[in-house]
Amino acid sequence: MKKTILYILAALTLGTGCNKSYNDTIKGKLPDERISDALTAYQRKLSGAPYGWLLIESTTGTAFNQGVSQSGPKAVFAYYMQFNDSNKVTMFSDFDTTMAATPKTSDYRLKSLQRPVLIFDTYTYIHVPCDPNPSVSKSPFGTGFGWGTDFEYSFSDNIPAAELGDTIHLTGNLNSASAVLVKATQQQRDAYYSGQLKTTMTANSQIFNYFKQASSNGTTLFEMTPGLSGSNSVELSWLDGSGNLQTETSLLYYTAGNINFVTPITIKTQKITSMSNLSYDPSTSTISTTINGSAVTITGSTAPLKNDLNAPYAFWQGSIDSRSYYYSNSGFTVNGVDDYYKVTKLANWSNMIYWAKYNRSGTTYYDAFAGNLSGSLTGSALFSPNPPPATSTTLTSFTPDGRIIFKLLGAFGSATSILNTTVRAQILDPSGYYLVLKKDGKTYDMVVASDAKAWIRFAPWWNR
Amino acid sequence: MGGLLMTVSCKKEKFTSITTPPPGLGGDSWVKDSIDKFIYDSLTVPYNVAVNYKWLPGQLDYPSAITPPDMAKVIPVIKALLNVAYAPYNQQTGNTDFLRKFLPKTLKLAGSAEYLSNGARFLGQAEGGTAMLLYEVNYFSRLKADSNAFKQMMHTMHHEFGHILHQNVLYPVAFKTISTGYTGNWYNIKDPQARQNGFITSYAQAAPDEDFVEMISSMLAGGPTGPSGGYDEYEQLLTQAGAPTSTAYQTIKAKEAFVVDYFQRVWNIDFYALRAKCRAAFVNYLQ
Repeated sequence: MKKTILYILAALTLGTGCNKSYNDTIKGKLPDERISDALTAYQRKLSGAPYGWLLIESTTGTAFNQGVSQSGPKAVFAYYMQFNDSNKVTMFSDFDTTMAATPKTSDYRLKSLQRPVLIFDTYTYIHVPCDPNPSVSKSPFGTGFGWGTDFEYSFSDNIPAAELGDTIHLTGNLNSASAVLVKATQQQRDAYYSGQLKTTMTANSQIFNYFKQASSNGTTLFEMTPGLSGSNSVELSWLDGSGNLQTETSLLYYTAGNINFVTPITIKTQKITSMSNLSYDPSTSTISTTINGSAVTITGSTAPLKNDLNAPYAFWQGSIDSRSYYYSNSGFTVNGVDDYYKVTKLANWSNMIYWAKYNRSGTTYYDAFAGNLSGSLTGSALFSPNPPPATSTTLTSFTPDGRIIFKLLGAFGSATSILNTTVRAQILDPSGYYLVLKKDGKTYDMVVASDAKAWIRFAPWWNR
Repeated sequence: MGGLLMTVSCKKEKFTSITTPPPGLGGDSWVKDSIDKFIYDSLTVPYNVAVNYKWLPGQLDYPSAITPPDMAKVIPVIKALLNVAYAPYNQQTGNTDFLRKFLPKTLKLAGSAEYLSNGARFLGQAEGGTAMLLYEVNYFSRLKADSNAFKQMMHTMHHEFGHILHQNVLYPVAFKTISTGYTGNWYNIKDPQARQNGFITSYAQAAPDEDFVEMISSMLAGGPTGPSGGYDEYEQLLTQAGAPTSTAYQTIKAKEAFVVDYFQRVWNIDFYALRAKCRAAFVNYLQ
């Protein structure tokens, strides 16, 4: 039996002997030559665009380092870039207003890995959001992690380089961020080089009110408030036919002249993907823009479009029900400046907390609105309020028009800490605060009612 | 069986020799600019060293979040290396032969550090005598106000070059038994505390090899978290070990003697003279 098998095998082997009748070229070209040709074609495609490219990059919300991942807010960044045929690329970025106005030149290279890849191989603006040093990237993902963006991309359209059109899709090799290159027009290039990106970004930061209202011909269209990804996102709210407040959110990015919504927002019948030609007029403190071809004016507002009367009490009761606290990593934003009082620079800073009925003194309950300095509190002890409709002039109270007004009982920690001086003065603003529930259904923005130019974001610690 | 195998072996009908080299052979090519020319003239020709400053996928630890160097920093960093780290060796040995022979043939530059999951970060690496990697190139500055970062880079450079030297000729094994208490958890130990244990830096406590090269780099370029809080010269670092009669002080001094003896016997270099030249070069280079 064994022998039979051997003979059969031998016969088979003989029958399939080597007769090399094919060659390994396609159209007369070896694989190496075809790779080389493909890379040249990609390079020509990039450097051949007369007015350069826009590159819009979106993250997955995950960043990798050393095989370990961290999750956090998604982000979108936009660049304008011009490639030349000597491996140099010049770009602008919407990361900050300096990078928006100053072009920077660096290197790029096309290389064949598992796929053809585009590498930005010396440091430039595109590396800033993925810099592992958080003081550079401003990333909330922690030390060693950027925002989850990339600078080494695979071409991910499954077609030959020569067949690529004016839109090219890329996928990041480390963090799998997706990027899209769109061929720019002469008008777009000129706008970048004339500093319009900075103008656009600056315009949007000139109105310090938390609430911004957009109107057209005297009709209010919607209200804009900061989204959950900070300045990279926005929430739009409007009143529907029944007078109820509707809210949608989108990540956003800036191009020269435009604010662009990653997720288009449909308000009644109007679908909004971008706001164009932004400019700020200091004499009227208004931003003028164009939405879907119509002129729109954006002004700061001191009050919400429709205040949720129950929100302050719901916020407070949330802390009671969970026997836990709300926290804020960054303190108050005042007049457009994040962490205006610089609480995050305090020694042993952990976060700012709001804890309803934190404790009691005799029979008097008090709330903690204080800095958490590695587990010890410094800041205000506030009289706990009674549930509405009860009002009070001595206790913290809920007003019928939906504000909470804080009253001081005493202090935690050092009396000279800024938490017991400037921050306390902010907390005790006599006009009180609106509470705005954000789109995630659990994060509250506490906005001062006097002029809406100071606010702090609280998220539930028990539901992080 | 043997006969069977013979009959089924292959016979290649045709063989065409290639007349042109395969595309891509010899690595990547790009349009050379002034940086590439500077590297060629100042490192490749005199020292036979190539500089990989452009990002090459997989060249650095993969998959780590590291960024490439800024073009604007490449030449300044190389000039600083030449003037502050390499020139003293040339002056001490009389010519460039020593460095030409022992400098790792590849110098890799990274813009950021490499952050490890234990909270530490890599500032440099040496790979078996063939390559040396410097991180945080993007933070380079010659200004006096930034001298800490500059010293750190020179410290890293001497540290890695120290590895290259002992990877060529090992130091006497008795060095490994001067101290006990080497630990993988060195990053939990503060530098001043390590000095009281008889180690010049906390990283020196990682392993005898690191101890040896940290001694070299701390003596030539100073060490971190000294009495000033930043980088200080070796003598100041020693004050944190304790009194000259203390065990810790004497342990470090014993290691110093090994280093000096090693340089003299193995490389015929007067270490103290080299140190004087390194310090002078550093001070003169600050702006």
